[in-house]
Amino acid sequence: MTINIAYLYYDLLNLYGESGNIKVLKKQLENQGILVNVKFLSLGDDLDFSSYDLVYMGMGTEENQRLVINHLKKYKNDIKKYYENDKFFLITGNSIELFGKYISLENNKKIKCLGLFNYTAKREPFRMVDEVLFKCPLSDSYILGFQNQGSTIKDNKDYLFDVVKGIGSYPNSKNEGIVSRNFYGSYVIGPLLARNPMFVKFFIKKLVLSIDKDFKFKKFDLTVDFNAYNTFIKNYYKDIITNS
Amino acid sequence: MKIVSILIGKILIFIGSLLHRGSVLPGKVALKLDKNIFKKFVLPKMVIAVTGSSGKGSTTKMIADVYKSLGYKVAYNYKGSNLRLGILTLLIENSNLFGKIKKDVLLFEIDERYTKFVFKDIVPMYVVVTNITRDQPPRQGHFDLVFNDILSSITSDMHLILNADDPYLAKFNIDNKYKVTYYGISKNKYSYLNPKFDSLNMTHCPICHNKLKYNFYHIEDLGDYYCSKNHFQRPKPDYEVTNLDYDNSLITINKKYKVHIPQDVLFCVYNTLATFSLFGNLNIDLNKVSDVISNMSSNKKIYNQYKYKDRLVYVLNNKNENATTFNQSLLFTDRSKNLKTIVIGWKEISRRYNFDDLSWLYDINFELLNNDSVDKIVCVGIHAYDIATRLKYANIDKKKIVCFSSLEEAINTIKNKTKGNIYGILNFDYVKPFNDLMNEGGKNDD
Repeated sequence: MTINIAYLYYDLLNLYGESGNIKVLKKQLENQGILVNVKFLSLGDDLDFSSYDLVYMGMGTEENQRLVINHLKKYKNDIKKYYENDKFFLITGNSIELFGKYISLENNKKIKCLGLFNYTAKREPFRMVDEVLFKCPLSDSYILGFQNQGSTIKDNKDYLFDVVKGIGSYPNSKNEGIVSRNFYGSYVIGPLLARNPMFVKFFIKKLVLSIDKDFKFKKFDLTVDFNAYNTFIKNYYKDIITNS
Repeated sequence: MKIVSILIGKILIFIGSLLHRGSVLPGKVALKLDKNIFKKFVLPKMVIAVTGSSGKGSTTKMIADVYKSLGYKVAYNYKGSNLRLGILTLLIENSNLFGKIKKDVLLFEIDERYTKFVFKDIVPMYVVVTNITRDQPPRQGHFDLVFNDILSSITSDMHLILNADDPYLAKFNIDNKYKVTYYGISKNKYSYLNPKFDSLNMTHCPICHNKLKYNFYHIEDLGDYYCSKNHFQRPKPDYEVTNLDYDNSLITINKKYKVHIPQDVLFCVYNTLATFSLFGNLNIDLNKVSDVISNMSSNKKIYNQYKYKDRLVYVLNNKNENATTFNQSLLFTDRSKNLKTIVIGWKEISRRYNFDDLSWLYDINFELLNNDSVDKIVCVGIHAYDIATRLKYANIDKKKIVCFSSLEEAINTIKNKTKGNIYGILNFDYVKPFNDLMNEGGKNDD
């Protein structure tokens, strides 16, 4: 089996170490004996959504976000088709905003986005920074990570995570992230996959089984990942997690 | 009111000096008494500010030391208090009761987010911006926000001193609005042709957004860059290192001035160049400047080298949440092909706040350690397994990676169960404990 990953705007959307998500995907898929072909794509490249199994995008500066949407909106119809064909997206950081209707700016202007979903994002006059402790029903696990962002989404309905501690979609929100068909998106940086081995297992199984429903998985090599995850929980969240 | 607030400030500085206490309280009280106090100082003719993500303290000290060696009286924030109140304290400390600064030169390092509060009243003639890197993201957000803060506080009356090798800094002068002195490093045996680092602040031309190309790199996105459509390129340096010889700690500037650098690391070369470029503008004999810098001693808190038995130990001070400092250390280890052991760790990620963001670990190219010269990598501290996870995804053989929750637990393994020279790539809070443990049970050559 070969899995083609499009790492979109790898050079513009990598603000908080998010290339880590690609490193995890590549290594874990390869450990399962799967050939992985990561295509590093950016402005000036032609995108061919019919040739990808997974599209990844990460966090960018506000300026880079603007450059990216100008390039990406040419592919609006291709992206919709890709989504409707149940192909996979993993989108982290503020890139999730690009799949909604628009981002409203402080000067009341709007940046038109792809409109794959009906939610809208709002650029806030302040930055939101906090640790993440979320619950993920799909992977039946807690999610660790971080948020560092200047915008919020208040009208999404299809959540990926429940907030235990942290900002979420907006300050004091109860949920975060987007899951719809095989689109997985979250503001969480960390990187999400490098910090959350249970979520890695869930996501990789889902991705691989969508291509070969009879695939036989080997044992995942996530020992050190789990050591990091469990040590962090023990050091910081022992009380919260035992009581919940 | 001015006299009263300055007088009280001075009394507090005096009391503080008796108690060996910190240096912002006098400024705080003086500002309470007179909120316009910043406007009331009579500044000397020469006012110099140094800002940027890192290197501002070292550069400021170097500039101050050169000035002092040449007989000038310099007021500068040597304790490193570089926010608004620290600078106010510096002004009070060095002024008479009428607010007149009694020195030839006012020199201050200033936090990169605070220029906007200070420059409107304390207007520098020269502004050195050392760099704007990925630094403390939970506090800074990101580099564009830092850039915009500095940009909003500089005016065309100020003369900028900038690193020509850094495309991100060249953005300051896209419109040719400022008087700028540039410094840089020419191609040399340490520069390289293919990029080694992935997470870069600047990859595209700021004008046409085509990808930047490079003739060579020094680190990250620093090097000889150009836009293929000719919109943007590395400015020609006014002061350029034309020969770089780390083996002898020697640089040659403009083929003429030979300077011994205090530490054999890239950013020490840049800090030296920034200092040199400043004095080049000031009608000061650059041969004298070269001599003074050449006689400076190394700051062992930043870089230290000693022996443990027959092994060389290099101790490199890094700043957590600042990928560039770690990338520089990795490039340093990469200079030697000898067998080596790497120690990476910290006590806490930040002493400023309670967040434990780990994302910056993935902005560091630990892939540079994926080579045969590395015997073991010892990960130490509360996040040892997070470091080990990062190393795993750099495809480093897991047999080479060991984890300990403290330096005390790690030290026996470091000393007795690893091979080759030892490189401590440590956050500053682990530098002293590491040196103490390495030197326990008999003093080594320091």
